[in-house]
Amino acid sequence: MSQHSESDAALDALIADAAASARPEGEDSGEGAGAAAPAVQPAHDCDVLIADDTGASRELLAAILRNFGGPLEIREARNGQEALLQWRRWRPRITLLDIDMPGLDGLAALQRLRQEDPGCFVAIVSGGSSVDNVKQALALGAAGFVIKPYKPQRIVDLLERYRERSGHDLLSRRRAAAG
Amino acid sequence: MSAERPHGQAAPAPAPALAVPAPARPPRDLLQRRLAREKAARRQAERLLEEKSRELYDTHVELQTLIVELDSVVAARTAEAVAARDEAVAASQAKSAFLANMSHEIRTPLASIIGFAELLLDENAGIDRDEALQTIADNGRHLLQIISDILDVSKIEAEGLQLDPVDVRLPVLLREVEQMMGPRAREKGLVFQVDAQLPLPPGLHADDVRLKQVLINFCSNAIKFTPQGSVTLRARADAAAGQLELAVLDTGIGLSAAQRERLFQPFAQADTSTTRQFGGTGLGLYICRQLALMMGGDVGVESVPWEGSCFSLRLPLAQPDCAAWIAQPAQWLQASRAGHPVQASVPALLGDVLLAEDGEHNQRLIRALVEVTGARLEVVDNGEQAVQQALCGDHDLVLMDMQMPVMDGVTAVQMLRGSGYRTPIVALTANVMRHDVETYRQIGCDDVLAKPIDRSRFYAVLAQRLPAAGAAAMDPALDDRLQAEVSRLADAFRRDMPDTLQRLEQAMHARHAAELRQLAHRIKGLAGSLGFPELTALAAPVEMAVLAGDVDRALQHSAGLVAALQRLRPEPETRT
Repeated sequence: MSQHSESDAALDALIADAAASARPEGEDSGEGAGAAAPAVQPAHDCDVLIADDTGASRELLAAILRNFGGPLEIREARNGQEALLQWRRWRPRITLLDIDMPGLDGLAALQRLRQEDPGCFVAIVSGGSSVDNVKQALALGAAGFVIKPYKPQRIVDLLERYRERSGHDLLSRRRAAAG
Repeated sequence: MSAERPHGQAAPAPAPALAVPAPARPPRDLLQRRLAREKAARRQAERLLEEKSRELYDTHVELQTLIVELDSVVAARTAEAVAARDEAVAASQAKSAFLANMSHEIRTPLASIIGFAELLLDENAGIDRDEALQTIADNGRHLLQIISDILDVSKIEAEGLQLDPVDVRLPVLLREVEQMMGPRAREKGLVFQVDAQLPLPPGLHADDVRLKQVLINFCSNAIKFTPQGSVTLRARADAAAGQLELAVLDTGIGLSAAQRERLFQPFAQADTSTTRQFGGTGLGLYICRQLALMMGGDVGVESVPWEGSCFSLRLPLAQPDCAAWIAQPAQWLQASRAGHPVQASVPALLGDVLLAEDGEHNQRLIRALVEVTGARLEVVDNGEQAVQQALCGDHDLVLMDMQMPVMDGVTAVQMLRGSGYRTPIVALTANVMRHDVETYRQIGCDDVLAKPIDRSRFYAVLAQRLPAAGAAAMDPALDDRLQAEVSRLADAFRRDMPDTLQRLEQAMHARHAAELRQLAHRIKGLAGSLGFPELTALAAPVEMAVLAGDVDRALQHSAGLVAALQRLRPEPETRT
């Protein structure tokens, strides 16, 4: 999987950028009136954030998402720590966290994100279908649980669920882009 | 006496006079005064005595009364206790007799089922298979009836039976009862007819299931006890009395007055010989009467021995306004055809069905029912496996038993819906009370199928939820760009294979568990999506073994993974 080294380098730059731009914005760290006021429509700077330690897995998921969601703005992270930085920088509509990542794992990252923004839409993706993982993810407030290898229908289900919760239809973008 | 003594002592005694010298003798008037004083004292003492005696007597009388009262209270309590004991003994005897009867009732059909099943297993028996299977099915249904009767009675006795009133269309109700009972009557050579005496109200507000239960019970009894002639389901209404009467008349053996009296008692058929001759639980009519009372009506019976019987159910009419009633036969006929369900044959279907069901026999039955449609079926044994397989798989429909070990269906459905799983889920359950059905729908079931499974309803649900054979696949299609992306990733994966293989072999050689796990983890997560499902299947146990701390087992599984990777390694000439 050495061919992903260039994209990894690019990602490193993005992470550095995210870290730099996230820190000055003090209100993003969770506490404060901004996070507590649900009436304010959250501003999203990207559609989807994918956190997975395998580059090809991220690319594949991104490709499937674009297949159904059209030209989506997608950001990537290689572990839970990067996911937190990227999330604070880009405020994605949908965050997809792999469970099994080095350092901060997906479930821990989910917990942190839900603490920072109880309304955030975060789903877990996992190579294992252990029911304990599913239970734990749901208890932590996951909006979905998708198992690898990815079944296209599960991704569509997830986008549908996001539409129901937020009123924002990512599925229609593809239709709009195609038309 | 005791009252007098103090006065005796107080009165001055004459004795000291003896010791006194004669000149000291008291004068006469003094003696007279002393006498008068003594008389007064005596009279006072007597009065006091009488008073105390009266008091004593009153107290005595009072005590006497109390004793009598107490006796009667004791007698009453004793009688109550005796009555309660007798009642308890009688109830216990009735229950024992009932249990004895039930075990006989349950054994009889079971004996047939087991007997015929064994005959079927014995290849040399040379019996008519269809007939044997029919007997087994009939006896199974009879057993089911017995069990539901017992459940009904225990619910009624515990006052736990709830009615669910809905709007019932009377013409449809009568037609449905006729459809169920008509064939059975005709099988026995009897005439079965519906006598709707117009005008009749178009509907009523009642628990449709329980209402049908009463009518079907009446009809079954009528058919059972009528050797020849006819069974008539009659409906008539009295607007003035605000009453609807649904009656079943037969030309059967009838009942004596003594038999009629005991009919609606629990655990009592006309007599035990009837039970032996005609079967039945002896609970049906008792249940009917209790249901009728709960519906605000009652049941009745008229009969002439050897001429026939008429069992009737009288219900209060919610709609006494006869302007809306049906008066024309044509109108009635049309109303009775409304909502006529089409008899479902086996539909031709496509797609994948996941069945979660712990009972082996139900698994086999449902497999047979599903596979004959052309749809594929995957079976799991409990809710936990159901969650895993549903999330991993790509099914078009999930059939979920609600009562399962390890994790029940309710929890499994909640977890799946919580995970964003949107595939239709149909609950399979023996609990089909309305509030159960509502609960199942609330947690995210799209439909509920009762067990035992009614085939036409089962196929109707399947046909609604699965694509018909010949229809386009329901799966969302992956477009060309994505296919290109997937094949690009697959090529990259294949190109990386020698490198992966080398790292894997090195890790195995060094017994480097962490490296083994990382490689296996990547392969597992990715290979399946890129068209190498066998690699995912081989990599998973490697990761599991490392996680379990069993490096030897991890190495064994790795060997299989290495072999598969070598087989899939691209030919040298393609790497230009």
